[in-house]
Order: sequence, then structure tokens, then C-alpha cells
Amino acid sequence: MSLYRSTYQHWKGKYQGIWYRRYAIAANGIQSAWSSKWTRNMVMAAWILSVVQAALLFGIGQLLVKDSVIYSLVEQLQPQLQVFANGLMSWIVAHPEISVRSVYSFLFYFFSGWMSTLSLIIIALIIPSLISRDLSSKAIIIYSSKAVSRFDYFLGKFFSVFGVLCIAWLFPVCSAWLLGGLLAPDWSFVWHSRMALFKSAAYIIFAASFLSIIAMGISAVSVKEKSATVIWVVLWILGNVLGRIGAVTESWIQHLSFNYNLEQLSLKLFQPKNELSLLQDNVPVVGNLLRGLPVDRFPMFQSPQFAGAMITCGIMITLAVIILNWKVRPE
Amino acid sequence: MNDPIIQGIKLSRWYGVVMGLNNIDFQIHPGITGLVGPNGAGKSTLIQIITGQLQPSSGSLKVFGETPWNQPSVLRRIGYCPERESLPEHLKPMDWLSGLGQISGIPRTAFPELGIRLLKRVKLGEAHWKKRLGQYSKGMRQRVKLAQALMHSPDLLILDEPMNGLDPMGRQDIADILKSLAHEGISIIISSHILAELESLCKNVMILNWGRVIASGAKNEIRSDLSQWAEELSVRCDDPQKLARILFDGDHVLGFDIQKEEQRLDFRIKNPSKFYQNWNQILQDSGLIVFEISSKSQSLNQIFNKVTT
Repeated sequence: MSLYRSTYQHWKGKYQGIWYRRYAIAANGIQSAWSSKWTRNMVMAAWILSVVQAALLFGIGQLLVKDSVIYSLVEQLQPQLQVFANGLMSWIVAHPEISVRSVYSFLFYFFSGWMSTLSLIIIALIIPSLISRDLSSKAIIIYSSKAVSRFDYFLGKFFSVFGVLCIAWLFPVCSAWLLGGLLAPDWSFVWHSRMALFKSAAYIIFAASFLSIIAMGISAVSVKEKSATVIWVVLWILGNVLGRIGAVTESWIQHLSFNYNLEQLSLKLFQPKNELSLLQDNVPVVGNLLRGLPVDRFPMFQSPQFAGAMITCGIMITLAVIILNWKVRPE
Repeated sequence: MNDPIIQGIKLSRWYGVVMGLNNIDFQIHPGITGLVGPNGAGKSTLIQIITGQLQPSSGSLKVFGETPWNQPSVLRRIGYCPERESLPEHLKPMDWLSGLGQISGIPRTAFPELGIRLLKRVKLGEAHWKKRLGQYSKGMRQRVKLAQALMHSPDLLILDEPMNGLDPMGRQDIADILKSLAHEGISIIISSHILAELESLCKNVMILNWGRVIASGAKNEIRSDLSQWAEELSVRCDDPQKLARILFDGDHVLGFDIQKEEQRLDFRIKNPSKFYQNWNQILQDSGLIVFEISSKSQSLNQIFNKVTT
């Protein structure tokens, strides 16, 4: 008699779809990242920066309120600074559409950049648990035997890093904008600052996606968890060193730094050079102040090497995908 | 017989110039099937193809009528318990099972009930549930691996060396679990080098060596096939010593043993094909009175040794 019978009790509930399973991989990754005290501290630091940013946005808004604390503070400044502050205030009142846009753009440019540094530190902390741990424990064998394809596994892992970066980068910046808008004297601030928000969101989404893929590639390089962190930090530092060397020798060397490439994207989106020109043209006091300064020597006011940055990012992403495809195999 | 659950047709898999599987045709039917073979025989390659982790280089393999590669609908029906250590050491068993359950499409709300049921089923003591997997003994890890393989209620369970590292009681526990699963209708493929365990568990075996299927089918069928060319015979006759001398002089035997009281000669044949061509003539010429000729009963281990050496 055959041992086979058809009385086996199957799982009676409804199986969830593929997006739920991808979500499960991502959610477990985020949960694993969150279990680290250091990661939580870094995320907290990002949110503190966001509060600082919101406070600054609130301060700018108060320049339009005659009886605000800012006014009383301005009155206590030195006469020269008072002239500058009054010039700025009258400019904001006269051209809110330009002033809010420019000031917000500068602020979002700086804060997005500072938070990117925190995000790079967060990646260094979470990179071992990304793929290295699955490879070292060989849990990848079991994952790949489940009803998810390798693509689904990668997608889940991608969203686990991307999710953490959103919590530590995108959401704080958006929250700062929202809070700034809520605390502003009128709703025109929300409208005039919309481009600064869109630029920040576009920059962070691209940068977080790019960094997530690179982090996955690096995490797949070694089965030793600590090695992944070391490789990430070394590449980060090495990239910055090469960036400095490239600035005074061959400019293409700068593109070997992922930080530099992201900075070029940021410059392309926020266009601080154009915003500065706008300020100089429309606010005489600012124009007079900056006229003698060699602002072009500051990297942030130079023309971005956008095409080179995008090509290098593309190459880096391709390399990461090749590494993932090569290293993340169950056999 | 039931329709095959797995069917391989001219299945091959190369690793560069190395042949993992070499143009094999086979069928695996419902029930418990043992996958036997020495290291490098192609067992793991076959298991990886069945579990959709590898693609065949040529030929085809169907599991439940579908190709498993990149096919979640097939993978959902398969539970896999790998031989290699594959547990994230920082997690507790319930967390791990919950995560894997969600990856399999089981909603989070099904836990912890489902996890408790599974851990009880694999007889993992409740006292160990709060420990991290890194603190588990080899035997406990095997049980958790089995639990995860059973989680999504598969139709086919594939176990790679499931008894490794288990003490005799643990082995018996796992054997009992597997038997009860088979009884419930789940099909099981077990790869093992401890053949005695397979012998007590499996109805069917598939023996692999050098990437080829050497023998496949019900254990007794293989045994019957092999007995046609048995290499060890037992002959009861009126003068076993005389028969031993004749066989020895004719250079037909590798060794023999005479049981005087039972008038029996047990001997191992040197060249079976040549021997069986002359066997009737030898007996006729000897003038002996033969009471009984039998091939020695073959255990799975002997079958395995025979077909793989």
C-alpha cells in the first residue's frame, strides 16, 4: 500500500501576495537595523537636525511679523547688521516668492547634505545585517527555497535600507518643511517653498536609492559581517581623499567618490549659484556684501559636473548589481 | 502507482567542465524516497534543482508538473531543510519562524500560534524557545530547520542529511515525525549517508553516483534486480568442502566460509558475469547433491556499496 494519502492538512488561511512577502523582507531588515542602539542614536540625531531646521524656518517666517521676537533681536544688533537685517526683511516683504524660495533652497541644500553624512554613518552600522549575515549564516539557502525569487529578495533588502534612510533622511527633511509651513505667518510660505521641498525629496530619493544599491553590493562582497562595515568606511574615506586629490589634479578622479557624485546632483538640483545670483540682483544689501568676495572659489557655487556624476553613479550601480548577482547565490 | 511528483528528463547540470548531473532520467513518486550516493554523486545538485535554486544546463525537471526555477507557485509546495548551517544566530526561533512565514505569504497574525505548533511538532522543548539560535545544539538546530520547512504546509519535504548531529533519541524522534508526515500525505525526499536510517524510513530509493542514477525504484525491486547478479551466494549441498575446492581451483571466488553443521558454503564471487555463464556446468560436473541456493539478503547499505563501487 502506498504511504501517500490525501489527508494532509494544508495551511487554511489565505496566502498573501508577492508585495506582502517583499514587504516582510524589508520590514524584518528595518526591524533588525532598529535593534541597534547606535542606529537609533543616529536617527535621533537626524531628527534633532530636522527640529533645528524647522526652528530656522520659523525664524525666517518671523521676519514678516512686526512684533515678533526676531524684530526685537534685530533692534539690539550693531548698526551695520541692522542695515543688513532690515534690507533682508524688506526684501522678504517685497518679494516673498523669490526670497522664500531662495532662503529655503539654501537651507534645504545644507540640511540635506548634513543629513546625508548621518545616513552614510547609518549605512555603516546596518550594512552587516543586510546581506553579509545571510551569507555567513547561509540563511540565504533557506530564503531562496521559499516562494520568493532572487529579485524579490533583493527588492526586499533594497527597501530595508531605503526604508531606514527615509526614516533618517527623507522624513526629517519633509517634517521640517511641514513644521516650517505650519509655523509660518501665512500659507504663502508653503507655496513659495514647494520647489525647495521637491528638490530635497528628489535628491534624497535618488541618493538613498543609489546608496542602498551600493550598500547591498558591498554587503554581498564579504561573508564576514565586520568586513562589510570596514569596506564601506574605507571606500567612503578613500573616496573623500581621492576627491581632494582630484580637485587639484585630474578632475575625473573626484568622481570615484560617491559623496562627490551625490554633491554634484545636489548642486544641479538646488543650484545655489543661481540662487545667489538672484539674491545679489534683488537684495542690494546682499549684492554689496558679496560683490568683492570670490564666491566662485567655493565648491557649492561652481557649476556641477552632473553628466560625469550620473555616468559614474551608473557604473557604480552596475558594479553593485554584478556583485549581487555573482555573490548572492544559494549554491 | 500514483503519478510522479518529480520527473527528470535527460537532466544535466555542469559546473564548468565538471558534471554535476549527467543526462539522467528519473521519476519520484509520492511517499518517502531516499536519495543515496557518496560525496560528489550529484545529490545536492539534484536537490538544488528541485528546490529551484539552480537551473539545469540541459534537459528538464518538473515538480508537480511545473519547472521549479523562479516559480513561486511550485516553491510554495516545497519545504526544504538544508544540510548546511543556515540559521541566523542572533534570532530566537519564534522570530525566525515568523519572518520566514511572512516571506512564505503567511500573515503575521498567524504567529505565534503557528510557531508554537511547529516547535511542538518537531519536539523542541519549550524551555529552549527563548534562547537565541546561536545557543542551540546541532540537534536543536536540525529541529528548528525542520520546523521552518514545515511552516507553509508543503506537499513535498526535502531533507538534506536531517539526522546529522542528532543523538539516537533525536534520530528516532525525527524518524517518527517523518513517518507521521508521510502518513498524512506529505511526500518526502531524504538524502543521507547513514543508510540504516533510510532503510527503516524509505520505501523507494534513488542511488546516484558520478552524476548518474545507478538504481531507482522500490527497495525490494532494486534488491530483486541485483539478486540476478548477486555477488554473494549461499549453497547448501552434501559436500560444501568439495564445492569450495572446485570453485577455488577454478578461480571463481574471492573468499568463502564453510558452515559444516548446516552443510552450507557462503562465498563471494570474483567475476559474476563469467561465473554465472559456467555456474550450471560447474554444478553438473561436481556431482554434488544441491539442497538450496540463495543469494544473501541485501540491505540497503549492501545495495549502495554494490552499485557505487
